[in-house]
Amino acid sequence: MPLATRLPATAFLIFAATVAVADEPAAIEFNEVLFNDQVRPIFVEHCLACHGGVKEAGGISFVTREKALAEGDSGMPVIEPGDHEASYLYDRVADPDDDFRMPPAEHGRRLNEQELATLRSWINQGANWEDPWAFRNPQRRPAPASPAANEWSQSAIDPYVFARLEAEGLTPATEADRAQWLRRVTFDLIGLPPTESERTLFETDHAAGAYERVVDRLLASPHFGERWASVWLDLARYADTMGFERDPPRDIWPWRDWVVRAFNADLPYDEFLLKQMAGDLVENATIEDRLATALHRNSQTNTEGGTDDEEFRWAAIVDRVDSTWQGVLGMTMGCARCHDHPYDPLWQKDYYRFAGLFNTTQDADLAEDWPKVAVPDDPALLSEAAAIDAGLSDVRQQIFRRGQEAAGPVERWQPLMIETAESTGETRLDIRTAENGPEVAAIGTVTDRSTYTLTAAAPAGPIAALRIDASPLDPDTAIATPEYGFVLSNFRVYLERSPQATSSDEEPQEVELMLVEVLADETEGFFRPIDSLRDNSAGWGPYTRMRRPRWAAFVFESPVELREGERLRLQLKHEMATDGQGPLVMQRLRVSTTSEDAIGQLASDRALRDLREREGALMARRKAIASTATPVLVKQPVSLRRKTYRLDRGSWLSPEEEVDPGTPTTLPGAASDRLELGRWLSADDNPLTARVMVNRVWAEVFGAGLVETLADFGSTGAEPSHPALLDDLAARFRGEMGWSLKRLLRELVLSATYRQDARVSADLVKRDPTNRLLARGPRGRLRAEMVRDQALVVSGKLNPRLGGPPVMPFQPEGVWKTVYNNQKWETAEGAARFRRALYTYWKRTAAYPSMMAFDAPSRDQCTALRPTTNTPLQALVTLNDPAFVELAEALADRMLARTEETPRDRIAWAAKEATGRPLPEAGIDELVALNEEMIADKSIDEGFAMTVVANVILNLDAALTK
Amino acid sequence: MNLRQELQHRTTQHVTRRHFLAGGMAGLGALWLGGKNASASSGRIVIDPSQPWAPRLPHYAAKAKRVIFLHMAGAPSQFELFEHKPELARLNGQKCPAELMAGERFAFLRGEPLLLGPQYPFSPAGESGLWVSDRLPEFRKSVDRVTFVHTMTTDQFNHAPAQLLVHTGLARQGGASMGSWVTYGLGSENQNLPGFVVLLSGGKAPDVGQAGWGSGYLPSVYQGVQCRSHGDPVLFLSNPEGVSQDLRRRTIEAINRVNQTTHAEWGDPETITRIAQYEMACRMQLEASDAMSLGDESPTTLEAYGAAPGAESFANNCLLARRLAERGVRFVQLFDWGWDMHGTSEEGSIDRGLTKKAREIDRPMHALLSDLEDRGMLEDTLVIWAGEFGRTPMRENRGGKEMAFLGRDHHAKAFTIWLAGGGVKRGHSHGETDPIGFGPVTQPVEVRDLHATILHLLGFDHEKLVYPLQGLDQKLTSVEKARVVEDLIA
Repeated sequence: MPLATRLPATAFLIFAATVAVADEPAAIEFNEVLFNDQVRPIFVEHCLACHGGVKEAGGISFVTREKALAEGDSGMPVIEPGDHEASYLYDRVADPDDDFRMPPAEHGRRLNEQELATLRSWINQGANWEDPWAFRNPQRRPAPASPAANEWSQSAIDPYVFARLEAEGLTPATEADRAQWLRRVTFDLIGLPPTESERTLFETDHAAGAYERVVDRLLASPHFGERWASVWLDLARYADTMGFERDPPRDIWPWRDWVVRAFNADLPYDEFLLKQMAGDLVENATIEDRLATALHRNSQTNTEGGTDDEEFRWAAIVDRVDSTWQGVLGMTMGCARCHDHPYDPLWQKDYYRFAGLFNTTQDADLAEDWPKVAVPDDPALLSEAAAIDAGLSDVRQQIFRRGQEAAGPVERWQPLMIETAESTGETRLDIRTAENGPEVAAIGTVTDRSTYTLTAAAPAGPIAALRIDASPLDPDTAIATPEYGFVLSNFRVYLERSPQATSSDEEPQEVELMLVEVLADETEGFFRPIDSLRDNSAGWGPYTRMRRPRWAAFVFESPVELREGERLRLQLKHEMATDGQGPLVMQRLRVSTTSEDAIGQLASDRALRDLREREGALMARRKAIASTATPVLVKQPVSLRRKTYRLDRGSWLSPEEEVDPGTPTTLPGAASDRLELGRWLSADDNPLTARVMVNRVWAEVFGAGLVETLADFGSTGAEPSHPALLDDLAARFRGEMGWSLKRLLRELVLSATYRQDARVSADLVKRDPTNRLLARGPRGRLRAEMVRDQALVVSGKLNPRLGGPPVMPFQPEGVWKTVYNNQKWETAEGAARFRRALYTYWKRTAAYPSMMAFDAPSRDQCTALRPTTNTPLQALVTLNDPAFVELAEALADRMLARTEETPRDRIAWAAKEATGRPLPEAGIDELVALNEEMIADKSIDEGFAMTVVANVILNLDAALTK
Repeated sequence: MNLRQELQHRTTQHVTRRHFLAGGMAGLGALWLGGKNASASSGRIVIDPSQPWAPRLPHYAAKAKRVIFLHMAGAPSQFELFEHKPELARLNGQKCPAELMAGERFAFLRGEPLLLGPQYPFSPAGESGLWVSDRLPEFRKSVDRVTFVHTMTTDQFNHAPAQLLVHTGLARQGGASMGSWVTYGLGSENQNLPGFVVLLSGGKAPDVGQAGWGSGYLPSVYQGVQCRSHGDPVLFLSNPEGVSQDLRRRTIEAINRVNQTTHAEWGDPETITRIAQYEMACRMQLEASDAMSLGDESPTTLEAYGAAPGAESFANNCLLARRLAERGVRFVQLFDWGWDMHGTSEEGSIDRGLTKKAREIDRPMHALLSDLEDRGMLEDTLVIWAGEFGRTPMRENRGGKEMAFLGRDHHAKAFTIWLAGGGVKRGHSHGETDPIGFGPVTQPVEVRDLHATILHLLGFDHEKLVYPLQGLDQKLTSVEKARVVEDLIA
């Protein structure tokens, strides 16, 4: 039902119920009470705070029908369908005694007669329930038709808007003049003002299809992607730094460029989401596909000393869940982190099941921001680099499998009877008897970078390899709440000859037994286990956290014959440390040996040697391709995959039961991993994604969403102003438009609704201050980025280069003073000063001040809606910020270069450049008078006066507004 | 009323109510009031978007009209300043009892750390006889003006999250800072200065960065405005070279006259708001420059604070705080960086570095309190001194080994802050910790309790100073139950 008829209809039902109170309740029961329109609002306003997802006071909840119909603690049916008198709910809300009625007096007012009548009718009619409106799949809706509507309409959205206006007794505004529409559409599509030649071309194009030609030109512009990327980057919390205290730099701009390219290529929104959620998991993933997953690496990494990586890894998962729900699904899922959602059928378990989809990537709040993909700086090398990466991955898989087969079975190993164990630093080592041989344990204060020395009597017979098994202190709890891990940076084995064996004087007392191969339990970790044979800090081990016992086998160059009385001395160096609580040293370990040929042969095995050689060659080739390493999502190997638990009250230190990854049970469809999640988001039966996106695009173009709360389509959010329009547009966006943003925008900006004049009467402002009814064209202040970009265009300084590393335009000294971070703002010289605002270096703890003044968010977290404020500090930016003054000077130069013209003509020209239309004569008179006054003052020259006038022009309301 | 009239009436009511609740006000749209449940609580702040800083009345009459918050970023050691623990001195060098350590998390401490006695002598000060260490000889003279809280407790032991908690009530980003809440609730008494000003000293921004004075979900006009000692006191306050203030006034006049014609043509109320903002900007240029200049302070005053015009120092910032408070700025937030004394360097040690930092704040703190009192402003100005957490009674053993200098690790369980003026008791001490100062034994005060108390002193019920957002009434005190600490209030 179109909204035009929906509103009065709703009112009628309420009215009917009201009449019924006065007369006879039974008389109105043929009027069906609509649950979502009439009953749910009563529950939300009066009941759910205590009888909802957070609290189920008295065992009563009104979140779902099933819960509402259950017996509460009282044992009485809360709702008896068909019989309000037998319903405890009705009994309590209608109780005349203020001491007994619900809601209790201290929580709110008594339900009024109308609300009581609604509940009564609803119960008597069977207490039918409906899913929340946003959970119902949007379908095509027939457009309301009338001759007047048909005459006015220019696109499919218009009849809905017209019908609502008609119902409100309003008529659409007249069509905007061409200049007004051109400025509006140019900013909306490419974020820049129309140039003089673009304005002239359009003004003089009287052939049919002139508007369409403008729109098609703008949609094809490479600046389209920049404009729409800036919207997406707010949701993605994109920044050029990692955040928190030290806020170090992060090279994630290649992903920003991916977004720009995706918008320019009109990558369908379903694929756009799929690639960003799981580009690494799609078949034959390219480097670009893997790069797309950096969306969720825009979460913050906390590198402050003494922070717990696991705590902030979990914070990043929470951020990914919340950003996905706010930005893509438009529901306040964040509520369910600590408890069931208070108002909507989303359960705490759903939250953790959803988190489980993100909880199995390798990133772990590491200071290095690993894992990363090396994105070739030269796009021509993308496929070569991808082929090398695939080759490397294949080689490493093969090496891993060889190791698993040969060294994995524990029965091939015999415990080494360790007799002494010593450590450097304050670390004390204890030798304990365990069921499978002696175990070395670190106790007391454990010092970073401890080196262990273990000795044992040599086992009888030859040994081909050693194996180290390291365990968490408590494997039972570590699986859910991991312990600090370790990195074995260097492992050496020495043989102490027995005195009688050293018959020759030349033979040394102690020899090193050379290790040549390391095979471990991890395929592709952050380090290569074989690095534990080299003199660097890299090596084998869980970095920085450990959930499970781990093992690695170290193979000798050739099997070693040991003689009675000889001793083995093992030296284990740990060279990695975190800046914080836990040491990265093994705290429980066992050593075993083997004489099995199957393992010993690995040292000389031709196939394995070939693999190692290929690995080295591929690594060298890849290194030769100049690249930018960008953080991305990479899945964990199955054997090391984290489990996900429901967390009591959201605390990562309080894991409860394990949950299976998945999507909320209330919503249709299912997903058990990120790839399925990517598909689930845009599945045919997903009711949210398309609605939320068309609503966001609508808000960008019309100034406010059809649902004003862009990130809250739930029971507490705003209701749609035009529900049928929203549903129809959403259904068509994912249907006939094929999720194409450009098709969607084309329809919106060519609509009669959008083409309306923005001029408004005082009456209409009063009646509809925020233009929800759309009885006029949209008018609003430029976004922060547009304020700068317009000044760049009008001054003639814009450097139109697309993409690349962030740039540093002018910023006052002293804005960056971040602790423990020596990064400096180095103001760009030359054309790099004049890049679009999108490319300005964005530091989370000290963001670019002039953009912040114009409401750009800090990008600490997903921002679904930028407020638009109007403050004196904004005036100071555009009046005095040297970055703007410099552009005013350049505009003045352009004015002065028009040597044929009078000062008045130049001023009129510049004002038209900045506002897209001729300034009324009275306005020009003001500017000319200002100019003349200044010139009359002998101390001011013509150029300076013109700069002042240019500065004034860039500060006009008409210039700051689209 | 016939059926048709009734229908129309109800439709209109529905529309009107929705517009009101959705923020049916020019320009700021839904942001001001949030979702449709906005009417749930009384005590709601109603704001005219064209005058967001206009003074507003709190829920009830209150003593405190403004706040000066002195944040010692990095978290100073209570054991060397205000927390007198003779027993800790006696136990110096002994292992910390394992049962105290069990289940506690620390930033750097590990294994079996040793207790570290206080490094400086304490003695009773003032008539109240409250104990203060010898590092603060001047401040000792102000001790009868303050209330100490020895049992502040937090659950964050890393700087950035702990500072976020102190300033926004949430340990993660996204919350609105205390200064934003207070200016949102009360507006400001001076429309020509930002209502919420931030001043930094110590050479670095606090660990939390600008999120510590961000407006979070509140409209961004309520975010703190950082004022500076070098360059423009407020960013972009000064005119471009060659533009005199007369010329600036003339250009703003020209802008506003043209904007009047724009408004006449387009009818957009935002244009009128913009005209007002440009006028305010012009006045701010004069008034902020004046407020931020120490040139007219007497040598006696400069001497009392230890202030030197042009320098960036805590002393200057204390004096500036008084000047701003005097001019009606609602909330002045100082951050003094350099208190994170782990013992990793001489500067960052409690035996050497702390003496230097204590000297930097000693005189200014005392001068600020006496100056406010002399001017009759202390009674309605709430001054708060705090870090983001405390420091351990144990010596830090970072990396599992003895460190070069004496230092203490971050300690969430107990720390000391003080409050003065604005209706707070004088010469009072609240709460006691155990003999080694590991944790509170009486009257623990959570950060949210401190927030509730500050809001109470300013005339707000912390449960009712709310901003509806995504189905939840957001509060400075967040979701867990907070209480006003009555014992602090005179």
